[in-house]
Amino acid sequence: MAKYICKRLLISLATIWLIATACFFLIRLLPGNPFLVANPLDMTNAERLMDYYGLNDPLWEQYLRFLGNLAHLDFGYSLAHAGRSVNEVIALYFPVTAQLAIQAMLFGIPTGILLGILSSYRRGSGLDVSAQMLTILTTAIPSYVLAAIFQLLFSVTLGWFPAGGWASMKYTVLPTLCLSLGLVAGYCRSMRTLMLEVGQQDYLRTAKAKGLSDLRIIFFHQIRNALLPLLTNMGLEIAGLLMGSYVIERIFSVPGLGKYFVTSINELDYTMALGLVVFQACVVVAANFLVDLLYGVVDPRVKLD
Amino acid sequence: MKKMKRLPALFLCLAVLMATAACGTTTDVRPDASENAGETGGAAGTTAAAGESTPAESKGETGTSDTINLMISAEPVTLNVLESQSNLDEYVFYLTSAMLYRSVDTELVPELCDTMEVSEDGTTYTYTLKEAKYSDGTAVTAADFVYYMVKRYLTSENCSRFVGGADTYNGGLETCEGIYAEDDRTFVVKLVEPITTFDGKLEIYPVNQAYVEGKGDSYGGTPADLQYSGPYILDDWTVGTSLTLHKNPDYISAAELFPLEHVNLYYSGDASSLYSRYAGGDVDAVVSINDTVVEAFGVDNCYRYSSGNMYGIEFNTTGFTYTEGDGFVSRGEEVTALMQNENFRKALCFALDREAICGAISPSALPTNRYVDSGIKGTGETPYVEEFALTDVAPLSGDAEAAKEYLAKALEELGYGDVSELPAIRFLTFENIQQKTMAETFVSQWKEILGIENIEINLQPIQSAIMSMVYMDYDLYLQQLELNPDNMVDMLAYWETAGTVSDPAGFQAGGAPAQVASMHADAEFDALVESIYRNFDDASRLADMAKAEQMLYSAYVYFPIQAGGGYAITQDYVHDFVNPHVEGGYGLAHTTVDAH
Repeated sequence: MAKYICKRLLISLATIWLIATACFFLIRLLPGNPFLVANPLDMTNAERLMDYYGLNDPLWEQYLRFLGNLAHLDFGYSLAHAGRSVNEVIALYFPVTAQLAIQAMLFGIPTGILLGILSSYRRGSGLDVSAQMLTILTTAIPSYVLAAIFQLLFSVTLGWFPAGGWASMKYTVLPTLCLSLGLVAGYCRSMRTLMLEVGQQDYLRTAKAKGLSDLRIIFFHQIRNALLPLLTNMGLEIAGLLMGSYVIERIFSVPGLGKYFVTSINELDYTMALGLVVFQACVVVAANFLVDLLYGVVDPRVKLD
Repeated sequence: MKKMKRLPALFLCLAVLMATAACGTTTDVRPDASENAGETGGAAGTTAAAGESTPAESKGETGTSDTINLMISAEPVTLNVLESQSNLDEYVFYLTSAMLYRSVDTELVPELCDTMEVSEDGTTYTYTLKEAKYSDGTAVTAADFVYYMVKRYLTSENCSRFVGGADTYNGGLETCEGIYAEDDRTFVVKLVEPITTFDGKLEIYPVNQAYVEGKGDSYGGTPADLQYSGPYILDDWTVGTSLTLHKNPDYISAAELFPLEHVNLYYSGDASSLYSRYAGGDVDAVVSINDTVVEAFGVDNCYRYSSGNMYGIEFNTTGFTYTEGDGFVSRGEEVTALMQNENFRKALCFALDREAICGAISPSALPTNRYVDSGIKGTGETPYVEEFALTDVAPLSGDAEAAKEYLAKALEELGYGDVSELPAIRFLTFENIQQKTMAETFVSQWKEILGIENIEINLQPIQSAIMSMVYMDYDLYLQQLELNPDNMVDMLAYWETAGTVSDPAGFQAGGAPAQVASMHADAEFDALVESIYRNFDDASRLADMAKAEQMLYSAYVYFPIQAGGGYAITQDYVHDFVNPHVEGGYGLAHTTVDAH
């Protein structure tokens, strides 16, 4: 196990370095000057700021400086938001994004899996049809439309929850719901299909022949085997959610990381974009690592070495 | 049937879960400062006392509330006023006082300035300052204005006005011979020569050099990294969500100007959220309502304000594009001849129904034929744009017949038999919904009225579009320009032969090949604009301004489309709230809020 973890850690570091290097050079290919947004005609001032931030130095020099800072986990200061360090931004706003993501997962994944199990168990029933309709609707309707509907319904009409902001638990309900409905739909559909597939397997017939109860068969044999393929996707899903949703965060004024991913590219904020990409790479690598470890727990046949 | 009953049960459970989460909040969902500050912890943990007030406490004894909750659609980019690239950061968030500030009627009136004297030759301006201090107790001195002005105020366009300004700007922005502090309370500005556009009304802010250098790169990053000299102090800034401010007791005019103790600014970049939060009663006013949702608010309930900018169509008449590798590259003989043909340009301009375009796309904007703000005063009571009207202008509702005639003349002059033979034309614009819709509407009107189908819209992200504009990589460009009410002539100077819009990359100054012309090369126009800078007689200066405007208009190199605007709305219990001009601030001066 220890050998496996060490090996994975080394591969992870190499992966992060590769991603950071590729992004460092790719982002410089984007046309434009980060300091010409507000006053596009003031080239002299833009050049001065380029000098100040070392962006006129040879690219290899900038790269070595970037790697040196990265080794100290220092992502530098944002070019667009003067005075704000990328580390501070991550430290302040990642917890918000993470909270939203975790709430969405805690609600969305179990609900989706439960609905999928019930749908497959009662195949063709009203519940099954309703669940299928729910998955189609929530997949087809864009999240920003759902968000606007929820705001009008739950905030303006019913007055149950605030339409935006981030202060207490009640502020998190609508964004969590919007973010989790996609998960509910996805996991419901996948789980239903997997449950039906696993239901055809010989070992279930054997279990039934041994006289095990339906509930025991479902919980200890069918669900467990159906969950394995879901785990594969879960790693990437978690990583994606932990990086924030630009749309949901924008609509509900959630102070998360999502907006920085989009604006840093639009604003050519090199330091912010690179810092976030490296951070995201770490999260993806960590999430996948975690999922690989979970395989061993869910399926005893999987050996980690 | 029994199975069907489980579905409602499931939804019931969901509803119960949600209701539980909302427990105790069903009667009042108004965000209050205490929740905001307490639970988010504030940006960099800087939450202070103001955030601890409760709605009950915030109501004054006389039936008024001392707190206002505003919905804003733009938040600061940084609090570092020296490096900010946004004109929103400096003032509208009430954190910094100024030498002079722009009042709600757009006049600049003294704030930290006590007196101003001008030397007889009109080149030396001496300001004495009121006694003022920052929120940390440090005194505001004349050196703070020198530091700001040298570091931030000087630009490539204005630096040559000040003695030593050009050397300072081009040499590293450390000190300037013509901008200095005589003592702690006396600030002096020396001009190279008297010019009409410098009347001493400096909208500059005090920035303490020692404080900035002490903070280093972190200056202005969080509320804790700023000295406050304005009417309010920022307690908490949760980026993307809210700013919480409380009144600065050390501000010079706090008592007279700002009755409100607390200001909570809630940010949303989403138009429908602005409506939901206002309609849901979360906020007392919405500062900037997007045109797309103004109907939901009810246009009659909102009021319009000018946003100080204008859109127009710019024609690349130079025939060249600049590239980093190859230098000046011809855009092709055919398209160059087309762009240089005045009748063709007039055909495109006359074909546009700007009234319909504004009404449909941006109702807060006003269609215009002018290059200046419509509110500018004339020699008497009549506004300048009415006193000095332009002649031979395209009707705001367009003139399809005239457009067709101009096109026919152009085709004949250029030797084309039909519009289908015209070369492809590239129309550059920003990749945002407003500009995209505007560009598509223009192209649609040109197609419908003139039958031109070969105009290709080149949508680019803002950064790429700016670089394409600077290097003139376009035939048509939807150009947005600032309208400075204090300095109308600067707008015209952009269009001098070597002006920044005529010649954005400085080709004329940089030794471009002889065949590369400026977009608007007119020696008579240049001389007229330069003479306006030195003409101190109001009546003849304004008449010359109008003459220059007419010359620019008649050249059809930049065709005005609309003067920008916006809408704002307040709840009934908010009084004397005036939405700030984009660069202004002080919409909250004298504002009161009834208990509600």
